[in-house]
Amino acid sequence: MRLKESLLSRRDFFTGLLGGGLAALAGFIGYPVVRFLFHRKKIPLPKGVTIAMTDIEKMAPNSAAYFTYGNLPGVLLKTETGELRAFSAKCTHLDCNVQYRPEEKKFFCACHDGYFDDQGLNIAGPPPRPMDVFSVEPGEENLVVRYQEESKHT
Amino acid sequence: MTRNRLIMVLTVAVFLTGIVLFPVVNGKPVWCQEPAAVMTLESTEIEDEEAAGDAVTITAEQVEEARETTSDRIYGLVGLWALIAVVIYIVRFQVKDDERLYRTGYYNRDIE
Amino acid sequence: MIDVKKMISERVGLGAVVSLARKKMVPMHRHSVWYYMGGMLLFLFMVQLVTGPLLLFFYKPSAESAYQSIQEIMVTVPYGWLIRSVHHWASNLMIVVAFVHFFSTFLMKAYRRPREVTWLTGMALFVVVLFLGYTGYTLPFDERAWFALNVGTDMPGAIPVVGQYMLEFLRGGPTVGDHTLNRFFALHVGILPLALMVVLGVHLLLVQLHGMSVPKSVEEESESKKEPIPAKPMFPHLVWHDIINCLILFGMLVTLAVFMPSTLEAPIDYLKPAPEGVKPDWFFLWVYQILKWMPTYVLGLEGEVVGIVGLSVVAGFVALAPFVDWKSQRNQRSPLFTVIGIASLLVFLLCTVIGFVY
Repeated sequence: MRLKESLLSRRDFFTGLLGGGLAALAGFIGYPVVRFLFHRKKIPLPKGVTIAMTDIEKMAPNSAAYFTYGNLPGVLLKTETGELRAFSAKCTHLDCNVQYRPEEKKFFCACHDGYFDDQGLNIAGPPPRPMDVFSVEPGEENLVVRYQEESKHT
Repeated sequence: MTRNRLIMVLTVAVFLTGIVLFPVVNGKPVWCQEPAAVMTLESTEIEDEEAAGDAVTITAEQVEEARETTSDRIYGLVGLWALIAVVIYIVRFQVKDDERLYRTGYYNRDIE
Repeated sequence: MIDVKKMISERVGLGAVVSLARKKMVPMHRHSVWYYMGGMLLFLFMVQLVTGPLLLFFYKPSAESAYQSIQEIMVTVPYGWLIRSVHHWASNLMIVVAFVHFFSTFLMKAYRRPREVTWLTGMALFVVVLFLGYTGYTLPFDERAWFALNVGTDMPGAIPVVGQYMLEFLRGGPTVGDHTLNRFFALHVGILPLALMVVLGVHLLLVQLHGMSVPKSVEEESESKKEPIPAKPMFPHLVWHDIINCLILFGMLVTLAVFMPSTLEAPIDYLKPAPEGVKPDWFFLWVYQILKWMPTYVLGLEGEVVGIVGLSVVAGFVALAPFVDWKSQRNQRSPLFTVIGIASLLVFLLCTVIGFVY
């Protein structure tokens, strides 16, 4: 069967055509704008950092101290036996900085009451995974701390 | 009337009490407790030649280079003008359609 | 099926806007082309409203980092050169079109009763646009910005009595520095655009209220011929033409940006003497040229003071044109003001060209 009139009026057709044209133009103009906005600065992490042993010797047993690792905050833990462990100080829940509680031997995140033990394992509260671990190599003068890519639990 | 006045007096009283109480209550921030001071360690970054960060200093030559009219830019420009031409062509269709509507008496053009 | 169009128009009252626009008729005559200038200005302002905040994503307003952040926009950020250049050219075109809008409105005596307030808001907008151009020019904090900042903020110092206060207000201190850049940044991205939007709102409302002004000559012709002036509805007819204008204007902006991207001069060297031929941006060249011609002393007064005060008086006179032009006010032809308009247009063009060449 043939319809007497077109379902689509002449006017609607032109309006649709115009809308399409303007949308194409908007896309063409929008591309550079989106690329511009989504530019991210490249800030690589350092290969490693060194910390003077003389500074570490000043730390009391069963205490923690903070250091910068590129743009990351790091936390160095000296256990009661003098063992050194280094972690990223960012809580794995929502990136708040953790604090060490010597009396409990736990890392505590005050933002949402998250707990990690002195090995960095998430033991209570919302943190979904253990803290990121740095490798530590004690030397004569300096402690070399390195971020371990594989330690980043996902 | 009396009720309105009563409400006014009460409102003023509440605000005045608030103003007096505010500094007293607000003397100490209640939303958080500052954590105890922490010990910090001086750390030195190990030099890394491979790290591909953004250039720290940009030279005048690099700026000039970025200002060059490359072929990419010209292609993009040609594309833009082509799209503009197409859209203008479609708009002219609309204008002609409006003329047609006018001729068929859809609306008039006199200043009211 | 749900009629989205109807749903929206029911809730936000689009119908009222459309019927208002449909009711507005634009007279069509040989001078109608000048009616497009306002729409073009509006479009260029919208381009600035988009590109400006985009640049703010990467620009850092401090003497230490402003220059470097512009370098980053030009080199590291994808399409940064394009966004910055479009912003630059849109500002230049905006000033060009503003001059055309200004002179055409003046010559057609569109300020006649009852449009005096529309004219005054237009003058205010013009001043704001010029200052937006000037303040924007100084933000890269390169060598050119340095001289523009020094000379530009020094000039009000010549004004008697309040001069010194104005100078220090603009500089944020006795000399130009980091603090001056902060002020100019605040003016450029905060105060001036806001002022522009508010005054522009009033300007547009008044234009809608009064409709388009028809030049006296056209009015008289239609009266003698006993024919009404032909007109077209604003919506959709004139809107289509506006769209076409804007598209071409946008194409021009990008073309200019591709072939002549905005420049970045050398970083500021506080001790370096001014380079030869240092000049203001083109839209202040005429002022610069007139001040250059002033003798050191005029009737015992400093030439610069006489020049600046004189130019301010002229500006005030132009702003008050609807009140001074008594013939237009009585709805008569006013050839004197046509002559004044053409003469000032010629002085402006001539001084700009001379300032540019010499």
